[in-house]
Amino acid sequence: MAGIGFQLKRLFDREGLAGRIQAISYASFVTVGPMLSCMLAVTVIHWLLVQTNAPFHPREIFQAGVSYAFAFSFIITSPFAMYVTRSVSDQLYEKRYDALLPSFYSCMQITLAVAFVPAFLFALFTPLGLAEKIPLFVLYMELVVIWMEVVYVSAMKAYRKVAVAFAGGMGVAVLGIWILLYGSGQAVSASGLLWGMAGGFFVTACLLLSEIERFFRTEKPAIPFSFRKDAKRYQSLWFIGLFTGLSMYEHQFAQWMWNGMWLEDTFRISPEYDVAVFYAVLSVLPSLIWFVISVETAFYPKFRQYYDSVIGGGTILDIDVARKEMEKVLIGEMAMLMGIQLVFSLIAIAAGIQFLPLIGFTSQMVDTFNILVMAFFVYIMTSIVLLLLLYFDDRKGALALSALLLAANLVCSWLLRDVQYQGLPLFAASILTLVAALSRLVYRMRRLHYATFSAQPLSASERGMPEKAEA
Amino acid sequence: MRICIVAEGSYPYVTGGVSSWIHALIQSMPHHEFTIFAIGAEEKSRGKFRYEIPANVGEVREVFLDAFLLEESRWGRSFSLAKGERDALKSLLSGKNDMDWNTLFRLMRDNRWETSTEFLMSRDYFDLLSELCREQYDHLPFREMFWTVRSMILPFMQLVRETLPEADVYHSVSTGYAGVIASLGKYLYQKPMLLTEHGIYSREREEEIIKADWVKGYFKDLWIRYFYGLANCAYESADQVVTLFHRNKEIQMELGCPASKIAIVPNGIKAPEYVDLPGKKPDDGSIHIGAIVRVVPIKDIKTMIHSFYAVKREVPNATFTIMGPYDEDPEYYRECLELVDMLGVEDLTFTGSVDVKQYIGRMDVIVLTSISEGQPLAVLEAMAAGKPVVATDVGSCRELLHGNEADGVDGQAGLIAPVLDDKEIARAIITLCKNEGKRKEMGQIGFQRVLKGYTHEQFIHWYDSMYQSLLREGARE
Repeated sequence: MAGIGFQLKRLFDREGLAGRIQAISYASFVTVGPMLSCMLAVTVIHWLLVQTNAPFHPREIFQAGVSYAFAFSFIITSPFAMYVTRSVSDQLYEKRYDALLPSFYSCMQITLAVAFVPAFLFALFTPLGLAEKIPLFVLYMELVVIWMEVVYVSAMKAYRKVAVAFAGGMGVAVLGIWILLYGSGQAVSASGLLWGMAGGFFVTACLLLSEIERFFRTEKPAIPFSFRKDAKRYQSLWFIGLFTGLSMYEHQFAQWMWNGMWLEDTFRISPEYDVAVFYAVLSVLPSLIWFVISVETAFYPKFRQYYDSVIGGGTILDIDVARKEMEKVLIGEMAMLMGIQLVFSLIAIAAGIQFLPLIGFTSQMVDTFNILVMAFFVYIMTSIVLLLLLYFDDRKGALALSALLLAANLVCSWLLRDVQYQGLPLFAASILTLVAALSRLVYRMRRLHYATFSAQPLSASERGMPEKAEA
Repeated sequence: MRICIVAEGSYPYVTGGVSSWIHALIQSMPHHEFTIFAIGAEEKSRGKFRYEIPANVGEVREVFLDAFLLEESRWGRSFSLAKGERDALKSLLSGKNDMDWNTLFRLMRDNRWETSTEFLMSRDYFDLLSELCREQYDHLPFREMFWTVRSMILPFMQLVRETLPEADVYHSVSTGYAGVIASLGKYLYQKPMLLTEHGIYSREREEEIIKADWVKGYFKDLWIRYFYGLANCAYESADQVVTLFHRNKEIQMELGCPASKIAIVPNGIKAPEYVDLPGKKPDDGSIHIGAIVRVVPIKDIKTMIHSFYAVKREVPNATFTIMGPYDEDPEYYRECLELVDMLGVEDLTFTGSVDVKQYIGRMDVIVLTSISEGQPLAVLEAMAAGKPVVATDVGSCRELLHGNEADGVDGQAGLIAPVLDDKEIARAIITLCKNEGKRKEMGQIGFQRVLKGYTHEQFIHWYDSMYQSLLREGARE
């Protein structure tokens, strides 16, 4: 975490408002930059399409195709990403630098092979034209590659590089589509638009790959990565990734299913809900930014201090004190985070009521948006607590909670499937899980000594202090 | 009757004092059936016996202190311990003397957990340890404390959880883990327990720990107290404690063993076997010095070599024969050979394992330079063969050579020298080498003393009647 941590600390240590603003801008750029780049690109392209009076059909296919590619590439990679994050951080910790690049390429092969299956089935059974299927397939596979690359580049704390790669790629996509629109005008095709997007992400993928090659290329080629051994060791992470990835999109799938419609007999969509989600997600960006700032500047130093006193010969009293301090900071920071997010969520609701009708929101959509803002508020807090549990290496807890989150989402989506409850299932499921997750976090904090020590294997050969899970 | 002998780190895996003592005891009592409960350090020693097990041994039950390596570990369990159980465990961890051993045995053998590791990885154990550290060890690095205590308790718990063969009498030949097992036998089957202590186990462990590199300074105290705690278990449970000589009885009393329990029963030797052994040839002009000893550091062979180097300068016709195995610690043996080479000592031979009786008759003087001893058989053998002895002032050497009120034989059977002092040892040897009359006289005194107080028959008779009387008492209870 050193990279961004030091940078932020230096910025926060600066006097005055300007320093603060700079620090927050930096944190924003590196944390939500990639996500914003993608959303911004999609919005700009949409606006361009409206401006050029592009036909409805390609616009719809493009919108649906892109969101499908995002959702499914994300879900399919999240189990891999979750435990590759851990195994890369282990490799870095154990200074096995030679193993990193081979591990990257083998993970990539496996992930691509797995990701290929649903894409192939989709291509096989949907009536979409080959001209659209091919760029959509390319886009999806590129995104799979990118999500895995992000894990590796983030492991090097090169968050800025990630942000730059996305900004660059999306810039290219927008530029490409702009040229395309002014070239072909009314005759623009969905496949052209998809190729434009794929071109942009190709740039992102290449930029990230060059960073990985630059960071991890070592003198001697190492032995292939022992994927299976690690996979067994971190089996729970695989499921945690799968469950959280599914939970993130489950509410949307449910809407597609209950209240949606078919587009070209290919994409099930629920346009009003999807648009509300798109805007509501923006409301939690402050949490994503502030979480990074707070972890890096307040929590992590205390976290380090605790493990340093454990490893570095602290007496029981030293360790007790370190734990209490960490707990105090953690609770304080969580409260602050929730407060900040609550303010932003309320602002988002107020602004939504005021401005969303101007871009064509119906009152039903505004209602859905409002409840979704609160749902994402609770959901993001739940995700953050899950992440913190992984910091404390509580894989068992995180696994149970992520399973609970998914199960609660499924049940709530079924119970509240009527159109008037749109947004409520995610809220209900998340708040239930949040209560459980916070209790678990407090419990884990209180029993941290025990977990830190007693989870260690007995024989001296395997002995070693736990390595914290990296976020 | 069935007697369960509990031996730790000795019979039947290593040769030497305690092991040959056990072997002789069993062989001489064919009318009893024995079970050996052998505690070894490492699983890899399993089945590697150095003795031919006598026919009256029904079973050799082998357990090893490293067995936990085979266990699967599982953490996160929680068991509710009663206050008495917590107190007992806490006393064990802090090496307190006022232990409730029976509660501890019950706790350790409990079925609530399947394996020892499961218990040692449980919340209850961890909480107890943290509590103890907050109360008593708040200055020690907790992580090291955690591992130290775990490695202390683990073998203990493993052993206590073993199934123990049923017997009429439990006889432990040392305190420590063996003492705990015999106490456990007494607790489980309500049968009498006998403890024979050759050296003083806890003292020996203390010396070892003080010298050990693997224990950090501030943890030495913890380990030492732990072993004293274990010793106390045996002293408390034993119906009868046997010691070999007076000085050890005093130490046992200091350590908390009630004087009323202690009997002094010296080792015995089959004296008739040492009469008329092949002797020196008439034309042999050399002075033969011998040592009946295993080549290991505790016997301090290096000082022995240094002394002989000094002797050789004064008595050029002296030879030195080291009779005993040297394969136990090859590194040390190699160092000894290098020392001989470096000093340029001549006429010094390592015979390896031999039948001592074929050599001892030719000897003029027998030397023992040990750093620590109980009641060395080597000295008894020398005395039985009528040979004068030069021995360091350890264990019962002084009592054997100078005599005590009980044995009724006046005079000295040899000379005593300080430990590690090669000059004094050499001086004593030279004195004997140069004075044949004194050698003869001392040899005779030694021989008489063995006949009076240290015969095999006396020793066997005592144990046989002790077993019988314990059985009767045990049956009465």
